[in-house]
Amino acid sequence: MTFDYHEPRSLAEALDLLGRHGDDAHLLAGGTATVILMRQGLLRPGHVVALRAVAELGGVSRTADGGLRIGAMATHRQVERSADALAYSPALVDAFASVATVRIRNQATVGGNLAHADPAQDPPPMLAALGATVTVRSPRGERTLPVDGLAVDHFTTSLAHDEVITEVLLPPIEPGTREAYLKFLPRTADDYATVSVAATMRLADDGTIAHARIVLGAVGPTPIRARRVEDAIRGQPTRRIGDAIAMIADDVDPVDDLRGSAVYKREMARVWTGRALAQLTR
Amino acid sequence: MTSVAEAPGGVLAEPEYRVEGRDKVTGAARFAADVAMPGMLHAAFVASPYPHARIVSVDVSAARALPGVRAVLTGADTKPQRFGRRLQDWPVLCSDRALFIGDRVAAVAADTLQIAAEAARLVEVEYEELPAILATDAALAEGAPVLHPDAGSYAFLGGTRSAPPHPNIQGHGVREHGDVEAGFRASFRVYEHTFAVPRTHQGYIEPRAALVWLDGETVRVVTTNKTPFSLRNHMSVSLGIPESRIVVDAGHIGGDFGGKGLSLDEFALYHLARATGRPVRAVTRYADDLQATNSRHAGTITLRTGVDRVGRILAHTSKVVFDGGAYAAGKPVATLMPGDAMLTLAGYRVPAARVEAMTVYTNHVPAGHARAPGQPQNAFAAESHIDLIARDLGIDPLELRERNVVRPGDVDVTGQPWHGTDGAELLARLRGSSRYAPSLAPEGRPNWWGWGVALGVRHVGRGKASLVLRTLPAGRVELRTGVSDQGGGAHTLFQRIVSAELGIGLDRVAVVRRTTDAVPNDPGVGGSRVTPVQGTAALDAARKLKARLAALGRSLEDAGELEVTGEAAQEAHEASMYAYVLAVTVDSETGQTKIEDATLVADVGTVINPVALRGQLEGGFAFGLGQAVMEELRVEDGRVVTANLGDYKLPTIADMPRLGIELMTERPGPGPFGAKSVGELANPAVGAAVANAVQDACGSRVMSLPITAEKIWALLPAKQSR
Amino acid sequence: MKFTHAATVAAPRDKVWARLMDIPAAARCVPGVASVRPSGTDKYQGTLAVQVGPVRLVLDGDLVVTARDPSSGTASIRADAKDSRVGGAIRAAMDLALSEKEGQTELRIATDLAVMGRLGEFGQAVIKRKADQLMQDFAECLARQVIAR
Repeated sequence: MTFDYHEPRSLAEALDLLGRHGDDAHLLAGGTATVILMRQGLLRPGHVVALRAVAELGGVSRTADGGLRIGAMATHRQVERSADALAYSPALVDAFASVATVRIRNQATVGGNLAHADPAQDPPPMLAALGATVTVRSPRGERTLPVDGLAVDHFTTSLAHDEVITEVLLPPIEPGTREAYLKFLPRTADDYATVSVAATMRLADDGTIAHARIVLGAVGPTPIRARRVEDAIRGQPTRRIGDAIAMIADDVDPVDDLRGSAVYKREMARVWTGRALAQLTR
Repeated sequence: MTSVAEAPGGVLAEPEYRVEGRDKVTGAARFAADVAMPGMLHAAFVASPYPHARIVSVDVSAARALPGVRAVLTGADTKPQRFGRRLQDWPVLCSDRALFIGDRVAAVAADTLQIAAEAARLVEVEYEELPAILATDAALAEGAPVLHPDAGSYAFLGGTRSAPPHPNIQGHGVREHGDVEAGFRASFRVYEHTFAVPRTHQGYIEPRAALVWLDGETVRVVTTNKTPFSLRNHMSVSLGIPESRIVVDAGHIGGDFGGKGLSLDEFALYHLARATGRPVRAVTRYADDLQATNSRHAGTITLRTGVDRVGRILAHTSKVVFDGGAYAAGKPVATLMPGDAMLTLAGYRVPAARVEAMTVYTNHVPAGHARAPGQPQNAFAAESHIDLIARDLGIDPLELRERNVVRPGDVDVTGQPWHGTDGAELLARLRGSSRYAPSLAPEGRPNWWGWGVALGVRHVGRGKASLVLRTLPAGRVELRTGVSDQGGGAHTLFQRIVSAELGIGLDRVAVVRRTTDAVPNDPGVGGSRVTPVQGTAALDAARKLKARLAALGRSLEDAGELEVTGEAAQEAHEASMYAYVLAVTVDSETGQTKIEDATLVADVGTVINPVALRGQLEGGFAFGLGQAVMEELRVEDGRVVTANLGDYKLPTIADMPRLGIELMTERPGPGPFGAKSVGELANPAVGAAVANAVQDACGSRVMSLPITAEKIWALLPAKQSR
Repeated sequence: MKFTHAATVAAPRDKVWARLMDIPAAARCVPGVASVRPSGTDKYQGTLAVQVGPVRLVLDGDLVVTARDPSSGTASIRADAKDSRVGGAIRAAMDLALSEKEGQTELRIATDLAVMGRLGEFGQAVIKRKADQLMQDFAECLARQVIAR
C-alpha cells in the first residue's frame, strides 16, 4: 500500500488537493483514527492530505458574543487545558478530558473527531447538547451546520467529500443554564463509553424546566438526541423527570457488543440520563 | 549447595536500581523488533479464515509474480515439520487441514512489509470447510471428528507421551488420595458448584518478533522467546538441525506474562531464510497476537466438597475441563495441561480427594501458558466454592478458611504433606492488617458494601541452571548468563546477590547476557524460577569464587583471571501462600464494582529486590484484577472477536485501587539467602476475592469470569422494581 | 452472527414467491448490489458494494440457491463473497420462509453471517449493525416491489 502524502500550508491549498484527487484523497487531522484504519488495511487512499500545517485551523478562544470557537485542528488536550473553554463550560472540558488517554488527547483533533463520526466518542454529544455548529468549507464556499445531526450513520457524516470542517462554534450559554457530561465506564478508565450522557438544562423562576437538551453517546449509530424525554419534561416541574426518563428506551438504539448487551445499555441509558438530570437539578 | 538463610549483606537492604533501567528509559535498549540486518526481508503469513477446513489447493503464482516478493512457501515445502514446547503438534505451515481461524497456510518473504502483506493477499487458497469443534463436550462426543489423527507420529520432547483416553484429549490426569467415598458419607453437607472461566491473553505490550538468517552453516535467531535454550531445542528437533548449529539471541523482552515461551514464526522464517539466502524478520501484528498465538485456557470447573458440622473439609472431588484449542504446542509440561490444572482446592487440609483434569482439542485458538498457568481458573473456582460453603453454613468466610487452611505437615489436595507457609499465621496476619468485617447480609437486603477474602498458593520455582562468574581487572567481576530479562529484574537480582556475597559494591559487578552459544544451558524465565534457581546459581558462583580466592590466598583486586561456574539444582517442593481481603462497593443501579480497599498478605521469604518484589505483587494484583473484572478473549463461531486492545481491555494504573501489602519474610525459602518466588504469587486469587466481595455487598454471585457490571446487574434481585 | 428479519407484504404468497425466486431482480433490493447474473443452475454471480464511512468494500462472489420448496414457501440461499483489496470475505446462509395469513404474506429471513479475514477485525458492532440494516432494507424493498407490480 503506497500513497502520496501532502502537507498543504493553507486551507485553499488543501481544498485544491481534495478537488484534484477526489475519492482517492483522505484528510488526515490528528491521525488517531485514520492511521489505525490504514494500518488495518481497511482504508487505502492514494493521497493523504494532512492538515497539520494549516495554521488557520487552530486555536481555542472566546467569541465576542460570549460563545467559544474551537479550531478544527485544536487537539482534545488543548480544549481540556484551555482557560477559555473552562470558563465557557466545565462540562465541555469534562467531555474532552474523558477521551481515552492523555497520549491520544495530545494527538486527536476536534475536527477529526467530528468527521470520524464514531458514535461512541465523547465530545460530539456534549457539543450537540450545547448547540454547537460546525463551519464547513468547500470549493463551493462556506456553510454552517449543527453538530446535532452532523453524523448520519456509523463513521458517516452528512459532509460531501470535498468539504472540510474548519471550526466549531459554540453559542453563548444563557444565564442559569447548567451542563453535565457523564460517561459510564464499567471496565477501564480509558475505555469507550458503554453509554454517555450530555445534558444542558435551565429552570424557570417557578422551578419548571425551561430548557433541556439531552444527547447520548454509544447507544446508536450516531449520537442520539433524547427528544421524547426533552419534550416530556419541558415546562414541567423537575419531579416529573423520574417518570419521563423511562421514555429513553424508545429514543436509543443500542446493539450487543463487548461493552454490554442491548438490554443492559438501554437500562443504563435510563439510569445515566437520570443521574445527569439529577445533577443539573440538584 | 546450601543457600539457606544467612544474613544478607547491607546492599540488599537498599532499594535497587535496575541494571537495564538506564537503557530502557533512554531508548537504548534493543528489542527483537528493533533488530535489522542488511538485505533483510519481511515476512507475512496467509491465515485460514475457517476454524476447520481441508486445504484443497494453494495457488501462489500471483503472489510470486508481485515485484519485490522473494519467496512464497506453503505447507508442501515444510511438511511434515511441526513445532511445540513439549508435544510438537503445530505445523510450521498447514499442508492438509487448517485447524483454527488464523492457522498458517503459506508464508511470504518480500523486500518490504507492505509487499509481503500484499503478496499474502494474493495467495489463492481453496478450502473445503469441515465440521468445526467449538466446545469441549463436542470434542468428546460420539462421532466427533478427530483433529489429530496422526498424533502418534508427533515428536514429544524429553520422554514419552502417556496415551490420552480420547483422541481429542491433549492431556489428562487423575489423582486420588484418602477414602473419598467415606469422606462424603461422613459429611454433614456436600456442596457442588460449576464455574466457567474464559480465554484470556497475556497482554504483553511488546509484540512477538523474530529475525532468522543463515550464517554459513549456523542458523541465527533473534527472538522475543524468553526461553532461548528451549527454542534452540525445539528448532533442532522440529527442523532437524543440530543444536550446535543454532544460535538464539533473546535480549530485552517487553513483557511476557507466560506467553512468550512458545515461538511460532521462527520455524517458517528459517525456511524463508534458506529459500532466499537473506535474513527474514517477522513482527506479529497485535491483532494476530490476540487471535492466533496461545491464550490462557478457557474451561469449566466443577468442584464437589463435603464438610462436617463446623465446616471442616472431609472429602473433595473435582473435574477440570480446559479448552486446549487446536494445538497443545504451547504447553511445556509433560502432562500437556497448564501447570496447576489439578490444584483445585489449594491451600487447605484435604484428607481425601479425587481430582480429574484434562485439556481438550477444539478448533479454537490454541491455549498455552500464562502467568501461573491453571491457577487463576482453579483459584476462582475454589475460593468462590469455599465462600459459598461458608455462607450456606452461616460461618464467616475468613473463619471457615481459618478452620481449614494448611499448616506445615498437613495433607493438602495433592495428597502430599504441605511444605510451605503456615496458613493459620498468614490468615491471622490478614485479619489483623485488614479491617475485615463482612456484612453477610441476607440476599435481598443488600447494603452495597462488601468484603471478600481469597487465598492462593504458588510453588517456589524448581529446576537447574548454571551461569559463569569471572574476574575483571581492578577488582571487578562479570556474571555471564543466558537469562533474558523480561522485565522481572533478573539481572539486577544477580548483581545484588553477587555484590552481597562478595561484599563488594554494585558498581563492581557487571551482568551480561549472552547468546546460547556463549553461556551454559539455562532454562529461561518462567515457572517462578529465576530467583530460586538462577539466583541460587549466582550465589553459588559468588561462593565458589570466594573459595577460589581463599584457596589461592588472593584478594579480588589481585585475583588475576579466574572463572567459576555457578550451579543450582532447586528440587525442593516448597510453596508460598498469599491472601487478599477486598472491600468493594457495588452501584445498585448499574452493577459497577469499585474496590475501595485491598489488603494483600504474602509470604515472600527474604527480599532481594525490594522495589521489583513490590512491583511484582502490585503488578500481579493489577493483572489479576484485569482477569477478574474485564478480560475475555471472546470467540464467536471460532473467531476471536476481541481483535484489538481497544476491545480487549487491560487495566491501567488509573484503574488500580489502593493496595496495602504486608510481607511475611520470617520463613526462609529455598532460594538465595532464603528467598522465594513472587512473579506468579499475587494474580490468581483476585477473581474470587472480587466475586466474594460482590456477593457480600449485593447478593449477586457471579459464577464466571470476568465479573462484569452487567453480570452483577443481571443478578440483582431488586433490579426490576427500581 | 445470526439475525432474523421480517416484512409483511399485502399480496398472496405465490406472488411473493415468484418475485423472491427471480434472484437477479430480488438481489437488486439489497442496497449496493451492482449486478447479479446467472452462472449456472440456481447459481449467480454478483457484486455488492458496502460503505461504512471511509471504508469501502467491494464484495465479489457467488450466490447459490441450495434448497427451494414452493409448496411450503421456503428456500435456502448461500452467498460467498470476498473483497480482495482489504483481504476478507463474508459468508451468509439465509433461510427464507413465506407464510400467508388473511391475504397478507409474511417474509421471514434467518441469516447466519460469518465475516472472515481482515474484515472481521473491523468492530463487531459496526458489522452487525450494517448487516442488520442491509437485510432489513432488503426485506422492506422486496415487500414494496411486490405491491408495486
